[in-house]
Amino acid sequence: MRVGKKQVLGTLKADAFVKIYDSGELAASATSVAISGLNGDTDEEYIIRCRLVSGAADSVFEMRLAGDTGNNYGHQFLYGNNTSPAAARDVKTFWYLGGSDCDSGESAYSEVRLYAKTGFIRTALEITASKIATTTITSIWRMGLSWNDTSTNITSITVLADQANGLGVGSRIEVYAKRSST
Amino acid sequence: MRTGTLDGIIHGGEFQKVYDSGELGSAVTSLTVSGLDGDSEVEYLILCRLINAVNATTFFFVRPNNDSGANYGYQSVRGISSATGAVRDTSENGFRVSINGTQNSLDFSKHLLHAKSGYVRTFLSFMGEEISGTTILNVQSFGQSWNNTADNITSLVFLASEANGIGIGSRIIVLRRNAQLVGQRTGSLDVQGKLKGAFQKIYQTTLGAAATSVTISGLDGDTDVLYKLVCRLIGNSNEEFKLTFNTDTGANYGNQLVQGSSSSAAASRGTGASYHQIGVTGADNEICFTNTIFYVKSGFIRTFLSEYAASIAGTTVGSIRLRAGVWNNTGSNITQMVITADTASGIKIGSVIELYAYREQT
Repeated sequence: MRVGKKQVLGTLKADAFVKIYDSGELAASATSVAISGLNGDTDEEYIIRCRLVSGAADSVFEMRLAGDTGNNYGHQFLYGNNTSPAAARDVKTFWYLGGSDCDSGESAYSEVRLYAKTGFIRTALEITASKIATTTITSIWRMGLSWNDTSTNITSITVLADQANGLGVGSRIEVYAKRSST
Repeated sequence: MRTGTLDGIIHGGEFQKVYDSGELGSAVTSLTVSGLDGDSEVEYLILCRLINAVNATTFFFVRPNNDSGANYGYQSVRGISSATGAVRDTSENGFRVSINGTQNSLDFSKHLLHAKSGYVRTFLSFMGEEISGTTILNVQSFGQSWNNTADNITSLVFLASEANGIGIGSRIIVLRRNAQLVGQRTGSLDVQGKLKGAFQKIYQTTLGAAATSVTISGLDGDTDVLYKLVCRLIGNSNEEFKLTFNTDTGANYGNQLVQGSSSSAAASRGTGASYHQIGVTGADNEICFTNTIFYVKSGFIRTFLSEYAASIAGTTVGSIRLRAGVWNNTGSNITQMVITADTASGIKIGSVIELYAYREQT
């Protein structure tokens, strides 16, 4: 069916990824932003895109699933910093959104693709450009990620900073979910 | 409401085409995508298959609003043959799309632009470059910036550093998120047909029993142009997951890899291979999460970009790999993809395979 412009106010089920959350640009700094009301078992996959502006010195941006603060988040990094390519592996109580500390006003831009359904440990792929100021990008990060939890339905995703009010004014977080036709 | 195929502008929160150059019939120096509104549309997804038309090293750029000042910067990480590398530049004259030093060779790249004004604009890139036969010279990932906080992006100008450097067969596709509150308002739409101008899932399976291979048939690459393959694969020890097209298992595949494994960054190139690797697992029941985008239309050799997190167990991720690939076949319509494990029944229960197709508007 050829259509004109349609503004879908409900759910667009078309076997495509549809935006289900948009923080808008934050008008006030925050330490964390929680996206609730998710159902990872139904949605199966999420794409999380963040443009995060640091609201405090030395802010590191992080992400958690279903409120889990345990030491359950695995990383394998490949990154470039100036003329140095490098790699590292780490386990944390969160996933990094980029790996460089951002000073106030500096930003990071990330995309995370998450396979969210229970039954197996959860896996994700990330790209982040980190510590961006004017024409300087300090580092580019590619990450393979695991969340060592096989059974908890992902009902929330939390984006946070390690510094108080580290998610500065202008930060924006979007979540896309796979919506299958029925 | 259940609907059939939708072919129009859908403001439903998905990425949908705003520009498609088609495959160019003649070489050009630049292409302009106008009528954009970065402040409203916020983000753009850009896919480029570019062919270097000249016998010189050609830099391909994209400039918001055609700003040619030294207002762009990037940080890269890359693999060239067995060498890894990284570069930072703070005075570029455009976002880097790709670079190509061999006439008639191909570049394939994807890019994500955060376009809204108010802050420095940011750009994430993944490129396979200088592709001919089964050889890929370079695989790279970039983070980039445009040091302009104020101007609404109303156009994107794609250009080559050399006159008529964007060769015949090059194609640029730009997708936007149609976020404006315009058009006929509807409730929920449950689309039973195609969603035109967007990527739509056309195949999904979750394995209830282990398999040695999975065949996705009934494809028409010449019509679909682009595919995205997303897999969560569970494997045996020392498992390798291989992708082939149609029934071709000849020495017609090539790749360039850059990877991180523990504290080691490494790169390698493969030519004349009989498949494209899309994943590995090192031990029994480890997981590989893999994502590949393909330019599949015939007429030129086929190019693709794979990224995967491999050998995952508990909180250990064995490696992160970026692999640009090529299928050295210009004539065959792609009608099937075959994913094969190296060992018998090596694609284990719980593995998930999805294929998305780009649906052209008519």
